Amino acid sequence: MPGLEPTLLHYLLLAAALLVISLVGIIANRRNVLVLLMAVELVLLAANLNFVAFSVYYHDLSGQVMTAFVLATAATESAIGLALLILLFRRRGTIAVQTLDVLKG
Amino acid sequence: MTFSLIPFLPELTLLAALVLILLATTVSPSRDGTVAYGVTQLALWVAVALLWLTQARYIVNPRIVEGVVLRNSSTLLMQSAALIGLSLALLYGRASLIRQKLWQPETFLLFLCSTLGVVVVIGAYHFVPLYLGLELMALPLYAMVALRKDDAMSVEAGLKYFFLGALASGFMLYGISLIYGATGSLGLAAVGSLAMSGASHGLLLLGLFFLVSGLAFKLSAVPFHMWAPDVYRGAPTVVALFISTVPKLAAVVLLLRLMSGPLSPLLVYWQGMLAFLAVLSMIVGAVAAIAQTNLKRMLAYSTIGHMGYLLLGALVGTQDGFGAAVFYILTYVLSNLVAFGVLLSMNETSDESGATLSRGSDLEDFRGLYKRSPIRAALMTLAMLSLAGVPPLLGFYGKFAVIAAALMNGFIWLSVVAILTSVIAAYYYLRVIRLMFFSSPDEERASEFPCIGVVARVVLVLNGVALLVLGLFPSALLDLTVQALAWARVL
Repeated sequence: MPGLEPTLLHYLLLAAALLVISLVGIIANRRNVLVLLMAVELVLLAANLNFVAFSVYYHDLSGQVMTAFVLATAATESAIGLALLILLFRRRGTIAVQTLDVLKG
Repeated sequence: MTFSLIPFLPELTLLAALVLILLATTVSPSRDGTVAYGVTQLALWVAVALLWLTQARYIVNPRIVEGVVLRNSSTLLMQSAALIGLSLALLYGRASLIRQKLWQPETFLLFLCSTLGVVVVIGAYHFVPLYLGLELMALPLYAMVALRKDDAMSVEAGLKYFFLGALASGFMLYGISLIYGATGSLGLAAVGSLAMSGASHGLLLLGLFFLVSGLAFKLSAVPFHMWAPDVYRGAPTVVALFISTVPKLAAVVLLLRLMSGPLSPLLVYWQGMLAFLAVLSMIVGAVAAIAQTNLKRMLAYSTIGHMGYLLLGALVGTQDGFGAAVFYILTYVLSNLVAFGVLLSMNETSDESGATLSRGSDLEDFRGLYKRSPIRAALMTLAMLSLAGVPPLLGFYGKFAVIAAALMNGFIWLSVVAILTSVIAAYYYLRVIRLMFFSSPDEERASEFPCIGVVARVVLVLNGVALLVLGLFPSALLDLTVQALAWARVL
């Protein structure tokens, strides 16, 4: 069916939706720090989807090269995030967001 | 055409030192950081020397290597500032690192890694090195903030910084992806040619909006500042010093490079965004700092305020404005190094459980400091007066240059806000001085000062005196920055 071919706009909307979902995940989530980590990674995926979509649209490979770099940094980022989470869990015995309240003012 | 690695020698030196320390950590069982510290300092100074040896020829002939990396007078100036900044920070923080049991090779590994990221960002003229440099700069910082693994504050600050920072990088990347969509190329030059053309700029502006929010986070400008006080408070003081100086250089250069070069045709659009950030930062930085009882938190709000003044210089959008902003960041870095240097020489101790680390950085610890250590008190006074912008100290000329640039280009209201907030801010800087000179020492808190090395002491005093001497002859540094920018053409 020709009318259902995905166009550039569809990909961009999907990426924007991913961005919104991750923002909602960050704002609405009060329970688990792990979910925050997932939400943050989702932002990178949204950007990646944009890169790939534009790369295909312009027939330019540099966008896809960027995607490879972004995936590598995303992996590094989650490694550091998880390491910090483990430190938090050792210290407090919980990874609830509400417990992050020692520092204020 | 052959590809030469010579323009990249400073970066390669840092990378070599990084690999060396990393290999040495895996091979040798020693947990002592002395060798790593030596290697780090050596690498930093070799990198500075190589910068000036190999890149002096780009001062008057700017060059874009392979369309990816920029080499000109302003990158030379800012990269040397970043390298020297780290060197001084580590020198001042040496005793403190040993006391906090952070004198390990890994600590220096993280510092070097982050600085390499800063150097890469300062030279980036393409979105790939720009993004990778920013991540290389930011990722070690998250770990550095949480370096004191058994301190609840340090870990919490690390986590907060990580989530907000990762979100900011994500935003920035999303912005870059939109800009890529608008231009079809990842080079900054393509952005410039699109901005010049009469085509619709909707996508570009949306991307710019995301990019500026990410940058505002790195600069800790309001409303993206929430992390700064917590991170400064929770992080080891050396790390707080580092975060407040070196990565800021990269963020400022990046902002000015985008605004002065590729995006200058879109002046009116980003001027509004920056004015919003600048006004809020100046106000929050001045007002919120008054309520603080901890010097590190107070300095965090002071940083926020300073970033407001810097943005004021940047948003003017003329060569004077950019010059004023670069001069401002240099004066800010020099003053902040002294303030944190004195703070690092105070006795920061943990309580029994190691849970909180309060002593030595509370304002109360400075009560009557003059009677206990006149030199510390004098240096802190110089730093506070310079940050407050009192003539004839260096900080005054930074503020003067920024406000003058804004006034001459017709930003009357913004200048009025800047002057009013700097008067309010002077109150809390002067309060520190009052505590040091006109209060008697609190016997309970008066513990012995820690032993810090002779070199660190001498350099710290010289750094403090430099605030005064450079303030008496401000044209030396001001002319240098203005000339560097004039030669740089593309910032």
